[in-house]
Amino acid sequence: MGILRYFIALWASKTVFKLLRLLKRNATMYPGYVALKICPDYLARTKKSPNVLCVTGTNGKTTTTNMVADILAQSGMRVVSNRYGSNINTGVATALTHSVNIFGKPKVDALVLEVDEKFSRLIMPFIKPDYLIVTNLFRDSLKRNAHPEYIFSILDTYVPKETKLVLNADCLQSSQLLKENKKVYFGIDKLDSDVTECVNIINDFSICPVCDEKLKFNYLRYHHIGNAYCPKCDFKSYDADYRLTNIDYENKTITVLHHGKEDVYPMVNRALYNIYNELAAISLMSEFGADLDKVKEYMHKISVTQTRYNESKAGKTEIVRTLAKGQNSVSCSRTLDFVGHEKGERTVFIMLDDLLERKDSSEFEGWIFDVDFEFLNTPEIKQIVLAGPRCYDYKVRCLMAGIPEERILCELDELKAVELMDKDIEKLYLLHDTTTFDLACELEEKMKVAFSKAYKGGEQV
Amino acid sequence: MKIEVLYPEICCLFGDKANMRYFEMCLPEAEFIKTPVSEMPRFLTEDVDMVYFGSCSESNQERILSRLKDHKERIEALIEKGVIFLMTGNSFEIMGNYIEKPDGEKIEALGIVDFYSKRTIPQRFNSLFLGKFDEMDMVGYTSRFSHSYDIKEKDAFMSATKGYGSFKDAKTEGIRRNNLYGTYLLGPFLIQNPLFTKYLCEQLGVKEPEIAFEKDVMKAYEIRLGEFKKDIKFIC
Repeated sequence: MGILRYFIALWASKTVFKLLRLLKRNATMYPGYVALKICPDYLARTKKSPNVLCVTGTNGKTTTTNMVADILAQSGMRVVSNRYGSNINTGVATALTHSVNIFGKPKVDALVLEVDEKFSRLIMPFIKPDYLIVTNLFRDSLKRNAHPEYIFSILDTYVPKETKLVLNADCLQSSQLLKENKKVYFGIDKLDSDVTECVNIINDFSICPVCDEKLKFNYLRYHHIGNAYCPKCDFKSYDADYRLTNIDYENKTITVLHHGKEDVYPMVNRALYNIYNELAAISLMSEFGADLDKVKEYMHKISVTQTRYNESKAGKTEIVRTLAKGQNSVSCSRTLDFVGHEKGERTVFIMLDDLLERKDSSEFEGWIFDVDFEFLNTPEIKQIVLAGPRCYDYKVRCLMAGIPEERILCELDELKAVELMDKDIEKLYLLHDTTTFDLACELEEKMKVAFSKAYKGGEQV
Repeated sequence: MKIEVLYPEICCLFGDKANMRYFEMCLPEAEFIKTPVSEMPRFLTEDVDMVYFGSCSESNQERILSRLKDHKERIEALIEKGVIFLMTGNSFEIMGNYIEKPDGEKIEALGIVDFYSKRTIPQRFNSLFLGKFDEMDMVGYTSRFSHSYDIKEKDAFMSATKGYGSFKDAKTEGIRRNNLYGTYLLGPFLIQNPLFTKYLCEQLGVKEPEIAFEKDVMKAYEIRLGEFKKDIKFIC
């Protein structure tokens, strides 16, 4: 009976997928939803591909998953990934449907899955990953993820003991996961920009988990990312098996040391959080037994997806559109850190409201008070444009960060803000949320027109 | 004026940290003492005018209770004396009789105010909130794994107009005794409620207080209040 139900679910899922594609609909979640509705143990029953590689964590999941899937696909493997779809149980079920034929036999060599950390409870025990990257664990959307300790307990409980972990040695939180599992760690050596006292508002791992003493840091990168020890007991950070020993921004390369051998890889993206993602992907590929010389070649062809980062030009202004996940104060702080430390005179346009909540509710803006707007308090940033219904909350936050009021433009209507902003600027950073991606693209087009008009014939009009 | 911020390294979830950062800007003359979890609270041995607790994880809530359970009399005496205690998020639950875990285990709390709390992990409750305190419109947001029950009307902080009160259908929100104000509302409560912030400054003895960035804080408050008074979704 169970087998019959499984096959009905599989065939229904495949049919629904085809129908939705005929209707030109995004068929990433619903086929899996149907499968799980008919057969609740669909994830457990589906025969898995020979290799199941998963990525979870608070930030960097999508970028890392895409890198791993791209590398394996370039190596000639047949890969199914949920890269364009949902990372919860229904999205994973959809990916499983694609990974088997109508007789339920695996038809691909590898499943590469991004797994939502909170939904791990409903996914990990059933798909039993061979390898799992945990990129990091930070606080995220409070209503969905509560707090990092809660998410930690989910992963610690539901990831199978047989799964080999690839963990971030520099993340004090996630590096403590699953003491019994086999694992390797990756980490980035001390950087010139590192400090020993936290400058961020959030540090969710500042005291020793053993004795409550304040931790000391050999180096601290951001939030609780760094290398720490307890001055009172034996607690300390784990040593990295894959150590990133050099970042060469000029030649766009990174150097990774493993078992005494250094390898140089192309740098996919210059933002430090993306360098962590790349290092995680390289570490997994090495553990997986991939030819690392080939991995270097493949890395040349990889770029961070355009929904997350894009550069364009209008008049004399270079427009950088980049994702700064709303309701995720750490992700957003990382983006502000990146933008704040770039060089040259620039404008930052911030539109991070949650469009879905805006439709029929009101967004909780508490998270923005955990974001390090202090990074934007530099005279090189000539104007900060705060657009959307929560713009006055953002303004208060900017004022608390010491940003002079005259540098702030506050406008409830995003499109009107484009009209009002200064156009005489070399570089513009447009920061958007996942829910405001389409609106950001619309604004980017409007900006291109406005900035081109303002700069005719090589001169500012 | 002396204000003690208790355990800021663990009582700081969901933007709560901004409350005292902002309050420091409102009261530049005041002394703010930040007591880490490895130290004993200063209010045990010296006079303070105000104590602040923010939201924390459930395990840290238990850690705090184990630290404070032997000091119930001192805390009670300070509350009777009129010292301000502001507690946001789940932190006020430690003032009740007990906190019941999902498995039925009861953690003894300080028993200063007569009520109890019940955790429902993994069920989480998210809600906007609109209510009143002392004729002031109060706005905010709650996101939590627990509710509090049996809070007597005389011990309630605010009336609840829309959204979750102390429990799902409660008509009141939070606890109050003298100058102890405990609320499930979390995040930048003092920034979201500038009228209450002024009221607190007055309670601390500031005459005709001016709060930091008043014009913009008020504007944000008015926009939010306008949205909350409309027919929008409160439970999310």
